[in-house]
Amino acid sequence: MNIDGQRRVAVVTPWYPEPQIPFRGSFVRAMVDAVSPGCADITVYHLSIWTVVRPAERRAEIWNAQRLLLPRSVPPIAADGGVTLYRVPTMAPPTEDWRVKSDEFAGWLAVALDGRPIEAPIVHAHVPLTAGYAALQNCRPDAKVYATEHSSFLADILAQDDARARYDEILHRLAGFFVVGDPLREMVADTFPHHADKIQLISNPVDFRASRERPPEALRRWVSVSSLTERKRIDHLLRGFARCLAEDPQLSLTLVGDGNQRTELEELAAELGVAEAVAFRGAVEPDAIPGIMAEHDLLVHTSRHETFGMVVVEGLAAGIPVLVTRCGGPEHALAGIEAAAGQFIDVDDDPAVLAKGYDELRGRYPHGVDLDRARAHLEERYGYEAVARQHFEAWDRPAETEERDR
Amino acid sequence: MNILYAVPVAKRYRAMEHETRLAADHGHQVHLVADFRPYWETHEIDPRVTVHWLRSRELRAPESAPVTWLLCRIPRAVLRRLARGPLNRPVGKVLYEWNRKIANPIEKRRKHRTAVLRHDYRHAAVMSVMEKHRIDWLVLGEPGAVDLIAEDVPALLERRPELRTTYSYEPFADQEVADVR
Repeated sequence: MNIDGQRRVAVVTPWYPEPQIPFRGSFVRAMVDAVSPGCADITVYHLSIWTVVRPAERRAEIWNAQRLLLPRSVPPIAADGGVTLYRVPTMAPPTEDWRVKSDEFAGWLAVALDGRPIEAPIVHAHVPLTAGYAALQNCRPDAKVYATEHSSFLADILAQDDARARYDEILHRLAGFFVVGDPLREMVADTFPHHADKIQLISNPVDFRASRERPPEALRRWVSVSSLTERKRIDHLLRGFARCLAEDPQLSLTLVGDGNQRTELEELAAELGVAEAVAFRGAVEPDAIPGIMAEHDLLVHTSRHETFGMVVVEGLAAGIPVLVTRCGGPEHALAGIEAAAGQFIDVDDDPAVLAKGYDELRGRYPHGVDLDRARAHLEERYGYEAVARQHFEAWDRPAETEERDR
Repeated sequence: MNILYAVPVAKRYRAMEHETRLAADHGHQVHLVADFRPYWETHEIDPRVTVHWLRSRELRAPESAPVTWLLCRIPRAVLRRLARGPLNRPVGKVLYEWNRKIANPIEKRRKHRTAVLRHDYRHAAVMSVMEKHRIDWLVLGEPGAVDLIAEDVPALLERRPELRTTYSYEPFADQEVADVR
């Protein structure tokens, strides 16, 4: 049993905010921020993937050079909250083979560690197949390794025989396995029924410290916080917004985030005649997001699939209602407070669906929603203290209790 | 310190801007070696940073005009013109075979020679800045940077064991490369 505040923890993750993409992995940083008050020290190993598109012979030469460079080129970065951060570039060939990627993650972390194990007795990894495997291969023999699955691409991983076998092995070796939403739990349990009782739900923490002073008066200033990629369906958001704007010219939409569809979406906004009402803010620092949300009246999220849908909880934490697609994670997160939090809509390419959902929400706002109740309910589950408690309970459990419970 | 921030492919715009500015804020002499991309026509690197733009995409390996015209362009143009109506399929097949056996290999060889030319040009640029400005901290900001100096790494590290190498410029906990554990 660890004494509160004396835990020594390593976090191994493929995602962590960095200057190039400041929002990528912000949920991992939130997890680190949440648990850090209860730890003596936290070391984060950010295994950022570096895809090397070169012929195999040339790759071998690059790998040889990297083996010499890596152990001497990864100094600690002083992160907030007394956290020590190492960024470990993880070179990999351009492959869809997840087992190969898994091997590269473990191999490059070993090179960076110069053959020595991670010192912390508690290691928590994000994404079992990549960072989780790297943690298992590089931890102390007596360390307890935990992993949280967030991946929206888990179905692709589990469709590969070799990767599935590796995943099975990882599940055997982990001291604890967590998922951030019911869709992931079902997928893992269906694939590995013999591990079903090992799967636990855990939440991504959300900062509830900042909120609007007063709830929005009218739901006219929309905001979307999302990468501009196909899965997020921002094109459908623009089409739905155009319909609503035709009814109410005072509407505006702010798109926070960046991605490979940005140019296309800017062109679409112009084509739909809504460019003047739509602001593309680009990528912003994660710390700025609560403030931006609080400046708006409504969070609109049109994703096709989400394992958790953290942004929806963040919107409510900032004090604004949400208009969100039934895309997996958000249904779980908002179970029991759907009407209080805002409005669900189907994942449907018809822009009329979004427009109808907006009309319904607007028609019953403000009396038909209860943002305070929704917020309080979510804070109990997703607030920093609640999520830290969930991690500590898992980490502090004696090994025999874990065995018995299984 | 004299820092060389090497990003020959240079697609990580935000990191390039942010990290070189931070290094300059910390009082370092910063040299950036990067391929020039259209993005930089409307964005700026901190003026304290000495920028060595590469124009490697303007380089092309030479090919003899007779080879290009007689084996690639003219046969393709003629065959495409003939491949209409009832001749579409048979001439299309000939065009396919011509491309496969004659034109594509010529172009593939030229593409390879162009890649080698660009690699050598970038390599020479990085090495020249290294020597000329007495670089004592090398930031390899992307896989392309490691690729560029891969052959030099063993000798470079042996000759200059004090050379600091990192993959980014961030607020490091100390100025010495610490034990990664």
